[in-house]
Amino acid sequence: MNTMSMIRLVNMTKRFGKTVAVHKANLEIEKGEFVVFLGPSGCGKTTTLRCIAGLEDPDGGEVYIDGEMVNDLPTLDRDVGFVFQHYALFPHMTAYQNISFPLRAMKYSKKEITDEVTKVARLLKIEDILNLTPSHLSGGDLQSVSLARALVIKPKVFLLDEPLSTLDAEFREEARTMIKRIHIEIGATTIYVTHDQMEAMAIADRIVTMNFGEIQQTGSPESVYRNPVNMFVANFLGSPGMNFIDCTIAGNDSLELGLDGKILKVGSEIMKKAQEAGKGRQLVLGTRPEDFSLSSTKNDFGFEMEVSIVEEIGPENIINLRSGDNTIKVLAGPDVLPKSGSRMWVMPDQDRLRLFDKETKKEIL
Amino acid sequence: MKIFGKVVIFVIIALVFCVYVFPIFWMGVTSLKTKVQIFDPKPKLAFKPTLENFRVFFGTAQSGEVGAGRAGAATSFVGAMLRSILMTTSSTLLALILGTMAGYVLSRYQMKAKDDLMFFILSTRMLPPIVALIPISLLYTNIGLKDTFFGFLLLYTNFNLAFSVWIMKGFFDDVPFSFEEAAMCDGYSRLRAFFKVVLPMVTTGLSATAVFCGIMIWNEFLFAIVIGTRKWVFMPPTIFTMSYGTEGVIWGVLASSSLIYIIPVVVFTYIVRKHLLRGVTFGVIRG
Repeated sequence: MNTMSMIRLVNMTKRFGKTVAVHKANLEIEKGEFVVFLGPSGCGKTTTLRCIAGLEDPDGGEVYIDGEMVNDLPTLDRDVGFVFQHYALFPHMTAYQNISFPLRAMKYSKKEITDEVTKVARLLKIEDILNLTPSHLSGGDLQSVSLARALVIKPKVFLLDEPLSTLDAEFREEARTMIKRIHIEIGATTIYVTHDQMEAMAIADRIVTMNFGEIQQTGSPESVYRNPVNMFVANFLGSPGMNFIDCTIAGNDSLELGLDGKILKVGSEIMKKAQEAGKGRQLVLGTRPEDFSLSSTKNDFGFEMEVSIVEEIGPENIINLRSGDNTIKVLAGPDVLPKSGSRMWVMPDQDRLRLFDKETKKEIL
Repeated sequence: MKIFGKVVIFVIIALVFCVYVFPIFWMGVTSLKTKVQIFDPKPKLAFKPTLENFRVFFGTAQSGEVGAGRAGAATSFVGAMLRSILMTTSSTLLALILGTMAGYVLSRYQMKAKDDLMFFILSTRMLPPIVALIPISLLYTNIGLKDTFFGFLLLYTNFNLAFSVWIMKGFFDDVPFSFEEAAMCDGYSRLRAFFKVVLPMVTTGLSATAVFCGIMIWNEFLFAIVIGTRKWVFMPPTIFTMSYGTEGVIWGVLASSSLIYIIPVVVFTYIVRKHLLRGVTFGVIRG
């Protein structure tokens, strides 16, 4: 086992009554890494974070911080900084008192406290609001103060629970950049929980996707996005998520699609995977919206669909195509504006095609 | 129209004010009168005031001009006043401490039949206290708690406990748990987090509970007169017994002692009034 990892979870399980919030989570996080827990609400990402902080006791498995088993160590001895979703700043204290609160627990001298608070306030650019109480601060400032309170003790592990979800959209990106900048400057091991895949992609060194209390996939944003191990991850990452088309093997070089029996010619690599999975097996073809090209003329490596709606979102257009009850979404350049009701040929990028097992929802490798 | 509205509001406030203040005003005036002036069928606004009624209170009355009898009675006003202050302070503190601890636990921890327990606590207030008067009096006589400091402390704290537990639980419920979690992440133990973070956020509840419990004990008459017969005699029974002379009610003494009696409550409520204003520090968790 690698003893250098900052955080290690071994078969960590947490139940609330009969509900299993986290099921046998195994994870290692290196020192200085920025890891994002990503998943829909109720997937167990916050519970995992709270178990690491010691705010919840796991029902099974072990939690290690810096090589030490911390299952029985109370929160105050774990040396973690925690930023809460709703800030949890103490209303009866000024920003300065809030930030210095953990230092006072550690019996710092007055001068040390002033120095440390000034330093962290400068880092977060909140020197001018230190004398205000939380009720006088804006959402962004509250967030900065709560980041400062968590950072001031220079914790081994910096934990953030959906820190940006309560901010207005305009501050959110700014705050996201700020968190990334702080991470680069101080290099603390950071775990960041979010349900926003864009945020996760933008900020993470490594993404841990979770669903139904289980870790689905761990990897760099690029690898999780490009090589999702199952349909959940494929669909959860990306906006819009991956398109799924049911298919079966039709011939030696083609698949029959669940789009009114349309036939798609595919490359040998995909074909090999499909054949290995077994003839007659229900398969799902996955393609990201940006991995299609559109054409008005017939193409053997494509299939024909009807344009239903075109959504213009600025830099790109989302083109919704229909065949029967099935819809796929295609991202195209801003000049591609096909008429609603017109028919187009859709060609997936053969190198980017993914094949999933319809039953297990896992990728066929 | 705007001025008219203001005038109406002013008049209403003035009326309400008069209704509340007039009895105290009348008490004040009466306490400064002699017996003859009090019984004057045509009360005069301008009269020659006397401090004799207050002298009776402090046990230094010379003449019989206010008609106070029983001078030199075993129970003095000053002694009763001190006993009342001592009992009210200690019992209120005890009820507050116990209520705060119980309220916190009931607010924060899961336990079996918590709702039933809360109901049971409240049910102790569902009968009028007089129902328990005779049994408690007999019980106290038998186990030697009658007319003792400890007996009264137990009784009065018990009276107020249900109230203080319920009120404090409500206030703790309003403090989100994440404040304590934040303090624990900042290196505080649960206990220190309670004192540093939670308690300062429930000062409103503490003040309100203290005021209500305090006033309840301060004004308690029934048990005080039945159980406190010789040593532990408090102010309410003392005012009652001392202002009955051989010639009926001695109104001047009744007024002067009552006037002095309300001062500590007024002062205490005045001191904590700023904490009674709810909403000063609340509503900061956003979401």
